[in-house]
Amino acid sequence: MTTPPNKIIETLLLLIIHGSFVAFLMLENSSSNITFWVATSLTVIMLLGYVFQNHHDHTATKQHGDFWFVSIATGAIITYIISKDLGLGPVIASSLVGVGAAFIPKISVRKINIDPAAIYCGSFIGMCDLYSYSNYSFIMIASFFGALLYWSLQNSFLGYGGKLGSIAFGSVLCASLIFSIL
Amino acid sequence: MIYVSLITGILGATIAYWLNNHFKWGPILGSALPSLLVGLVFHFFPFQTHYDTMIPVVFFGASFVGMASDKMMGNVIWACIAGAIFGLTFYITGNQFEGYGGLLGTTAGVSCLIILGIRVLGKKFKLS
Repeated sequence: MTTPPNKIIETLLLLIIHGSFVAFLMLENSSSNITFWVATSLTVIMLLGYVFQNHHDHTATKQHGDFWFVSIATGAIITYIISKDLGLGPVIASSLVGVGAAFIPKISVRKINIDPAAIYCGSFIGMCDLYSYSNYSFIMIASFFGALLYWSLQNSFLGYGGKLGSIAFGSVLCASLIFSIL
Repeated sequence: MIYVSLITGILGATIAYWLNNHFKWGPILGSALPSLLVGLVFHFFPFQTHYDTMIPVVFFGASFVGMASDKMMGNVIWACIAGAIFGLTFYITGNQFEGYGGLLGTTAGVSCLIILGIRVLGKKFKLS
């Protein structure tokens, strides 16, 4: 496995994802003064968190694995099938995949190194319900971007809650951009 | 409705945090299993209100906050506050990003970074 990008690029990647989210939130609520200023204050505090984010938890579970794209795509497709085809909804589908993924290290063949976190991350992509895009090709493209982001951020933000979801959100945004261009 | 969002956010984050860090279930199982149970309860035994959809989603999203490690979050009080911030942010965003995979996780990530920012400010001003 090649070395991931350096720390500044890793931080910038996540900052762009979170920035897109916050920018959308603030633009959508610009008519409401209170919401706008609450969001602005929280953003400033969040940026402080970014500045001082080098307090990594090195004891946190490290992401390791060999088949990130396959793991992410598998998690996404299974979630999508359970959610849409079986009609159980995205929450049950994603959490069911998560529970299944959590037991993988205990039952998998030792030679195959599968990262349960990548499968759980994929399950968030599978929660997509964009009416114009929701199909398997969209999920596969989003999974590809998900694998790229996952690889890029594998050694950063360890122990932070919401990292996997942020990766999924970034990959869905990238895939949406590709689909909107095409 | 904001109270339901806040309380659910606090519960989701705290339960996942406890299962993850104190019971050593790990972040994935600590987040996924309680969310699955909540999702199943509201799916098969609905109360026939709009909360049937909202509560599982907020609980699931807040459980991502609880995936944070002890060292990053500090203690369970901070996890509660992060869960409340998640509930508040979810309430503000509403359904604007509906259908975007990863939205809940991004909101959780932002909530965790806000907690880190507050803790940094607290240390600067000797509040903690």
